[in-house]
Amino acid sequence: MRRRTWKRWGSLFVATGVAVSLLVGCGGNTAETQTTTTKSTKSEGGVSGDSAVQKNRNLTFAISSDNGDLSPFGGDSGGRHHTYRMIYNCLCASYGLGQSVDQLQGQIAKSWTVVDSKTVDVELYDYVKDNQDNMIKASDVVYSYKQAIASGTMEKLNGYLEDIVATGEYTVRITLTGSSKGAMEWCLVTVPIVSEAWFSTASDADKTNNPAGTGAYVLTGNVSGTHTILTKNEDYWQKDESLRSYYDAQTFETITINVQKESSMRVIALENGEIDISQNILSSDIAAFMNEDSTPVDGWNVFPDENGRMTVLMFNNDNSVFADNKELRQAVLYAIDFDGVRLGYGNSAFNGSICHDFSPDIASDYIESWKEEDYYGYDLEKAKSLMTQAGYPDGKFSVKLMYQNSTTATAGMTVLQSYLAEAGINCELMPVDQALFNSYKYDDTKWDIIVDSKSTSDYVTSVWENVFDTKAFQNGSACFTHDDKLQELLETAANTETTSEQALQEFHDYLKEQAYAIGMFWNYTYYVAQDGIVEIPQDGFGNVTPATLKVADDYVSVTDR
Amino acid sequence: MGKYILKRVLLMIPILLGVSILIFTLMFFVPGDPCEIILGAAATEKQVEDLRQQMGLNDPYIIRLGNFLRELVVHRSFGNSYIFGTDVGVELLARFPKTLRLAVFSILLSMIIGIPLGINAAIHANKVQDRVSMFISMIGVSMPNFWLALMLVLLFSLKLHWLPSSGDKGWNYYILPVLANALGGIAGIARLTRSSMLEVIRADYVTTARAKGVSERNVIWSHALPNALIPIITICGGRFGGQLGGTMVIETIFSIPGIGSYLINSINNRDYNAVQGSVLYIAFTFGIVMLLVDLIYAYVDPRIKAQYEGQSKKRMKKDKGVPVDA
Repeated sequence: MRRRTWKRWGSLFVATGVAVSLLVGCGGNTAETQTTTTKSTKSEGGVSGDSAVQKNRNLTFAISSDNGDLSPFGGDSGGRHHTYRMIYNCLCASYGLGQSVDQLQGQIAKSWTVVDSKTVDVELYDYVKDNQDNMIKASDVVYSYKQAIASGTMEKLNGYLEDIVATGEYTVRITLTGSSKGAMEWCLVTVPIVSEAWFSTASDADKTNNPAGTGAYVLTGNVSGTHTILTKNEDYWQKDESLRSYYDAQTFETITINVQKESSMRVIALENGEIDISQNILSSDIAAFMNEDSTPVDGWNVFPDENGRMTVLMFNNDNSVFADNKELRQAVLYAIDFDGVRLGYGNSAFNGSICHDFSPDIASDYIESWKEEDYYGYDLEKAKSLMTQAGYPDGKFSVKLMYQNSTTATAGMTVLQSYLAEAGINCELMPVDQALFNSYKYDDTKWDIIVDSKSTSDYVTSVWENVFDTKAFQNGSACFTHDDKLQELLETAANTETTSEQALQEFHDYLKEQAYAIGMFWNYTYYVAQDGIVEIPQDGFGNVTPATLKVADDYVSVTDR
Repeated sequence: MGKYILKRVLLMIPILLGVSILIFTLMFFVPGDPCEIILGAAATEKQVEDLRQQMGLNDPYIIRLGNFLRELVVHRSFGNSYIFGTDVGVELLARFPKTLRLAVFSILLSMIIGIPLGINAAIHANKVQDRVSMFISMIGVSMPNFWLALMLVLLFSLKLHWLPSSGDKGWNYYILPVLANALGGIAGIARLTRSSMLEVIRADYVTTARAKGVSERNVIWSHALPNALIPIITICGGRFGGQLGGTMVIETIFSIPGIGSYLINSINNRDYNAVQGSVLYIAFTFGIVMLLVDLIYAYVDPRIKAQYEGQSKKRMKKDKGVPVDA
């Protein structure tokens, strides 16, 4: 009887072991085949003298957001921003914020001629090919733009682009719907160019994991939400390095982009020598890498991530106590010390400052004199006097303040709440997750005050249009304004044919006076790198593309040490 | 037995269909959608609305449900992820081995340490060994696994440099996640084993075995433990099934590309197809694990095995004069 029991147990144990081994073992192989695309780059050609120094350099780069959809026309994501310019070339590249059309660098475009404020002619190189040897012609460029619009992920392009036609085998004409500032640059620098022959026949899996890109790197591994591996394209079509844009540098043999969402784990990975550089190191964690005098600690380099993003406060100007009550809006703004709120977010005295306009000061058309103006500096007495004028002498009213939930945001909002309490206003905080926030922010019944984040990749007018352009919203604007004068001033300031410093100033003054919304502060996090990385160029959108990093001659990746 | 297994597997079909409709309905009514995440923070309301229309997210409930079920039943596909653009089924298959690896080693470690710890506590009830074992279990149960995970990383990665802090590039990357994941299980299993053994150890048949002069070791391992195993198997099965659905916190902290991290990202991004696919997968694996647990019961307890046997087999045994359990 006992022997039979043992036999039973033994057979059960063996069966379980076999089943588990099979599942784990087979599964492991499945994972490799399903998620990793192995593709050798084509040329086995010799190494040039210049790149001999760079041979076998690798890079491990940590980011805090998902790597996203890496197919040519995939949706927006933080990880994609750092990656797709290495896989795909566009017509042109923008180096730094607010580059005008004549300052762009050519990628697939050999030259471009502005015909008028709405039209640009582009001539392509006649030897462009993707990493699967498909040649790129004007018809492929037209196809790429049409696919970009059809994908639905580039709605901004859809708004800007009237038409694109091939005017020859290697020439195209782009026509815009209007003369908005930045529209022409946007159309030239954001659309990945792919071959129609490849894209029209490729499977969804190939488009995301094995794309036929025109860029200087080839996607050789991609596990969503975890890591992406890019390998130098030895047969990159643009052989003449002097004709390459800065995106097309091939400093590293392989680039591994790790997704590490936990901020503390990014710090540990840096300290533990597992990554060469990390994006989004918070001000509260920077002390391990930066001295009090802002110099880097030995062995590290620290770079500010000045990406043009700022935190804004907007009133519900249609369906709340603030609608049609300018004095009350002004009173609330005077009642808040925005630098106190900024510090409440966990920022230090150095990594940012309060705003002086509804845009960050790194926008290329920002007027420096705005910094000298009073922009609702903290003044409780003035706030109380304005509240009396507004019909609320002692406050005693309640408002709902909605914001996107995070530990730092809640800390900052608690500070803001206490400022309002001092003025007699009861502020109910409404922290919500990202998807819910996106859903509620255009609903005028959900909030009285909203704290959001806005950014510009070029001009102050881009932020203004993004928030106040009545044509883009069902209920007036992002803060439900219904003000014809505001719209008129915005259209004048944002149109390339009518814009001027005076037009910008008029919009700025009017918005400040009406107090519909305010730029509270902008702050930045840091890139922290091992000391072999000496420079991190940021593109026209404030993003860092790993291939563009500048390294010291003796640079060795921490993973190769 | 074969008939029982077949019946259970067939029963899973309506359950999975019910889960599909339920999760679809829940996701339909949850506020938020993936459009603004796809378009980025700079998108205007009109741009978001245009994309919503293009993706069919403005369609009525019944049409969207019909499309989802048709895709699922006719094409046997969960569709593509809105955020990553990849096929959800392929993505789940690719992630399953990583989650399985984590779950198997975690549950094995929990059982290997937890069961002997519980037995030791039970046979030395109210003595020093019992108190020490239960003190250790209490600490294990009380420690949140995310905190423990960070402490382990600080010690073994940052201070001692013995193990990598995160990633998935080899077996050594799994040591810390398994430890962090297993500790709570060790404590829970130890406590349950103790109480279960204490009930059995006082039973008459155990006293009889002792009276017959059976060695204490045999009394514990051959007479008491098999009879105390049913609740332990239940809790281990439940834990294992739950972990196969992904350990979200551990996978996120250690950057392991498993089912849990995929699901949590998908929920945050309102990636409907990915959430629906992941939940169906979890329901399926949980159903399979529970079936296995029921089969293990049969191995452990002959009375349960008899219940699974069909009437024809029982009649056959009766004809042969073999006694049949109720």
